[in-house]
Amino acid sequence: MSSTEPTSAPNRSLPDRLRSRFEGPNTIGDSRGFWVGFVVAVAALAVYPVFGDGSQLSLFMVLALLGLSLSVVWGYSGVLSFGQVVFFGIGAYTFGVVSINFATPGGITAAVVAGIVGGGLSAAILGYFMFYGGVRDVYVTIITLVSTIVMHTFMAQTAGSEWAIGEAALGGFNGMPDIPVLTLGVEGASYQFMYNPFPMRVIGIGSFELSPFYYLVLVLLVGTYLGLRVLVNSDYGRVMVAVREDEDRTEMFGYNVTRIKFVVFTLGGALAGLSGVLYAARNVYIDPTVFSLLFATLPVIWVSIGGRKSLLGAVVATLAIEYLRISMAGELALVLLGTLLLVTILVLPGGFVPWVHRQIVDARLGPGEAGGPDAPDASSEVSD
Amino acid sequence: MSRPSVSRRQFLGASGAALVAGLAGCSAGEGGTSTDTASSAETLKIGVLEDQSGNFALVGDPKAKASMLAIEEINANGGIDGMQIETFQRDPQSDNQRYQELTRTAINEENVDALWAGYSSATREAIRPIIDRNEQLYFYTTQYEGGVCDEFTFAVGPTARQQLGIVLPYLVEEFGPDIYTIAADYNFGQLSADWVKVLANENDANVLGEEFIPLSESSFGSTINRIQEADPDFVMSMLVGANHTSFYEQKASAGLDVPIGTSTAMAQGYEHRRLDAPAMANIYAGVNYMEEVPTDSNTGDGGFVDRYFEKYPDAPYLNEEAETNYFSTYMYKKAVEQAGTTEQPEVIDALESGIELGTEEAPEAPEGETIRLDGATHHVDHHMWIMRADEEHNVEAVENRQIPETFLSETAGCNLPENPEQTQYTPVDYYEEAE
Amino acid sequence: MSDTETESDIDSLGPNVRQTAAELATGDRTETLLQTDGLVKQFGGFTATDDVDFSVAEGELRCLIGPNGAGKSTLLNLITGSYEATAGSIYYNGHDITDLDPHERVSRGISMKFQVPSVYGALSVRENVRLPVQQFADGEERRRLVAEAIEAAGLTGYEDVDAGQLSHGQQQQLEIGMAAALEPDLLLLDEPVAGLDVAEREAIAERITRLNEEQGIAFVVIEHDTDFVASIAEEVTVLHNGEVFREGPIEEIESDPEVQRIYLGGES
Repeated sequence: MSSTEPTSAPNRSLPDRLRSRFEGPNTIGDSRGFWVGFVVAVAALAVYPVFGDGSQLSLFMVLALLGLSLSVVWGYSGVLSFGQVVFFGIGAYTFGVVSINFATPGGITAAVVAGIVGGGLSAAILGYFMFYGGVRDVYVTIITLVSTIVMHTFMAQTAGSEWAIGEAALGGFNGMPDIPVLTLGVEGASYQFMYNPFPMRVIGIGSFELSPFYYLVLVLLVGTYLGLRVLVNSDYGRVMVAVREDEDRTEMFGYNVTRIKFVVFTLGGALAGLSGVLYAARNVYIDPTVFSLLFATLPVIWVSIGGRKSLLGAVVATLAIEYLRISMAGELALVLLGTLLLVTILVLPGGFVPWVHRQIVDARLGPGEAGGPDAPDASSEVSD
Repeated sequence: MSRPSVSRRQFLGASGAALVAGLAGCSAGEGGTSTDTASSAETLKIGVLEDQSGNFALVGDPKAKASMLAIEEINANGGIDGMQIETFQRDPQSDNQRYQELTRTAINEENVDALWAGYSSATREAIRPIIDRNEQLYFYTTQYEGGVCDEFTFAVGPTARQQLGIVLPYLVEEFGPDIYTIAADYNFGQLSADWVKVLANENDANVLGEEFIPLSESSFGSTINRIQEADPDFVMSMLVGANHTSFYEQKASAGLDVPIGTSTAMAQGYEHRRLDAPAMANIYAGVNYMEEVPTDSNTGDGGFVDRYFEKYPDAPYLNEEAETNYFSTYMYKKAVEQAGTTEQPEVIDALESGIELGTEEAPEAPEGETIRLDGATHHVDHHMWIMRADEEHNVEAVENRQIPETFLSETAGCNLPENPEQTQYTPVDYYEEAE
Repeated sequence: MSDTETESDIDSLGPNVRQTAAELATGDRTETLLQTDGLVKQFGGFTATDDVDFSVAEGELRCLIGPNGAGKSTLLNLITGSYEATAGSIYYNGHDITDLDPHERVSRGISMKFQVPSVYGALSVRENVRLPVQQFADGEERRRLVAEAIEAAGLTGYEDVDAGQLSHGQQQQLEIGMAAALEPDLLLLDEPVAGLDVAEREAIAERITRLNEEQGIAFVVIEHDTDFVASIAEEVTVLHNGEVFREGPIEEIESDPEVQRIYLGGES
């Protein structure tokens, strides 16, 4: 909180120690003010469906998970992957195939796990061949981009009825419809999340219906964000950052950089797979447009504009940009996106959210105090 | 140690204000729940979601225009049962995700009484779950591979079996039994090629070879060579999209003049106007409608073509799907008047009792003929035409007759009033020769 | 110079090996730490390293000198594993490490400072030093080791400054500090005083000597500055055209006319 002496472990209170797991030089926000603002923001998201279009926001939150997956892989380990949508799509299709074949609550729950595993496994396979094969830097980007194109072309031609896995026809261009509604649990003890509005009544406000799916996504998003905060501020997270900054140097400190990139890439794939599962569950439909070039570029755009080295930036930018994109007429949205990207690269290469944070921190500290012993951020840097 | 506490409050205040502003900006329309009805006693509301930008803009835009033309005419003539038609029209930009969002908006917020949406089959499949979940009356008007047996969907465009079914037998008789198929490598192309095999079998013809071409492909040199080697009596072409247009130009340069039967070229993308002659020479299009269809109600004075270009003087062409949007709007009008209400279940019942339209409202049908909505399958028994382009790209009709929808009604046994379902059937399930 | 090893069981991280090396530093200094055997490196048609037999004894302070293009940096990169040898072998503590990845060699006790200062510019000094240290120490011990390393580098008070904003001399100190923080037995320094003024060079020289004497770390230092070399070296290897040209104690090499000649040009 507000002490200036270097804090040592036994003297810090439990809340401070807990908080320190989530804070560090690799994420934005290490002051009490930030956390209060965070809680307010989450509360606002929780209340939003009462006033606004929760269905649309649930889509953006699902996509924010995809943005986070790229942030972890690119912002924190330096691997620019255009292939996150590949793992997203594989997660979505896997969920669809398994849930169509086993349309019971237990089966659908297993399908969710299968989708996440599908995303992670495909990332592991691609990552294995790339990283252990010595592919680096821009060639990784090219290969991930190519894998997106390959998936798109392949899935688009799976129209014939021979392209079916059990009961689930892949459907080619037309996609795979009739994905069962998302139900978690087992027979007899399950809960259905889609199209299952939960009526609520609050005195003074009235009665309204809440969508369980929206809250499921909100919980997953907040949980993933916090979990990733802990990860990137941990020892392992610092190594990830070192890999991003200078691979060769980090190798020379005794770290197995190849394995680190492989592990992080797999984690990113699993996270993208989760996002894909939720996407397919929300639309009860999936088609090959998730492998399209435009969709492959979107995560890169979100994360670049939001600030690639910032988890918060990835989430905020995804929500904001997707909202803008949906609200604007066709080509105008693309023009806006391109302009935003240009502005970011030219003026704020670190991204918007880190810049905003810096303005807030500078304003709070006042001129001349930045970095001094009274700086509120200093206490959180002294970590174990 | 002092820390300016006012700035923390400022931060909270700013973020709070930003959130509230965000909420205010974000909420569009009536919000999460909606209990009011969209149509008052005086009006009803129709949703029109057609591609006016993006990949399918060329073929989607005339659909939107034709729907609006029909609605304008109906309103000018007293509306439907005295009710004026309001519209919720948006451009989903050939983007299936946008289609899903707009469909949800149309149903949940705009409470449309009927919805027209989508060009491609992928779009239809993307929104069909939403349609079915919400029991929304939905008209799908594009020519497509056929087989959709869905209690809420009225796929009123011509099916592949109908389109190929008029042109293939004619070409077999005129030119001979050996066929070479080229088709776009995705659902529509593959299923159409399956129908070619089925029809060939029914007409004692043989398919010498099939070639499936990726949508992104635009160089056809090797395809043209293979056609020349195979030396078929005619070619069946189900190529789709901008890239595939270059096939026709390349074949003309290569001097390949074998007759070509098609369900996709000319009627939708008006290649005969856009490409230089004689690229489309000797092309036989099997369609329910194109701008040149020689019925009085179409090309006569004050006919459909005249009315369309009066409203849209800058439009480049009046394509196949536009006519389907047009007549299906009139079919809806008839059904509502028959049902006496806009309540969707009753209107669907009225549609299922079978609706017929004459040439005035369905310009594809010649004077004295009608087209019929088959209540059991929700498909239309179209009046089909073979339209041929010559060396100067003049288009004239070669043959025409009504072709009923048979796959669902006879082969698959789709009977929606008795057995409501939400399925798509494919020829491979029923015909050995389609495999 | 026998390389049959009694320490063949020592495979673990820095601290353990350091202690053993320090024990030996006071005693028998002829145990070979590093030995290359017929090491060759070719880049396409160009031979950068030509049949080099090179060895470093435990706790030894050896300088590697030679004209530009002699293959000095290449040799260091071969030792760390950044380059894969075209032919030949490398032994460390008696084990054949020729096929090991760089990070595996580092965990056995080899550490390196690159020719171009490559601290993590965007990270603070504290974050920089923490990176090597966090592998083998936590909690209180970690904080202590980090603080010690920062102090030894003369950067107390700069903990929160971004390393990219330090002066060149400070970055060199930081880098040496980070490499030393791994508590290696063998530390390779590629041009540690390039671009520094006299005072800074002396500080580095002192640092190297102290690390060598107090912690028994063996050094291989590439440098061009003959005064600097003279002030720290015990043993010197002279490379020329990828081959070992001369080797021996600093006194011999200093006065060898052949060595003078290859520096000034002339036929080898």
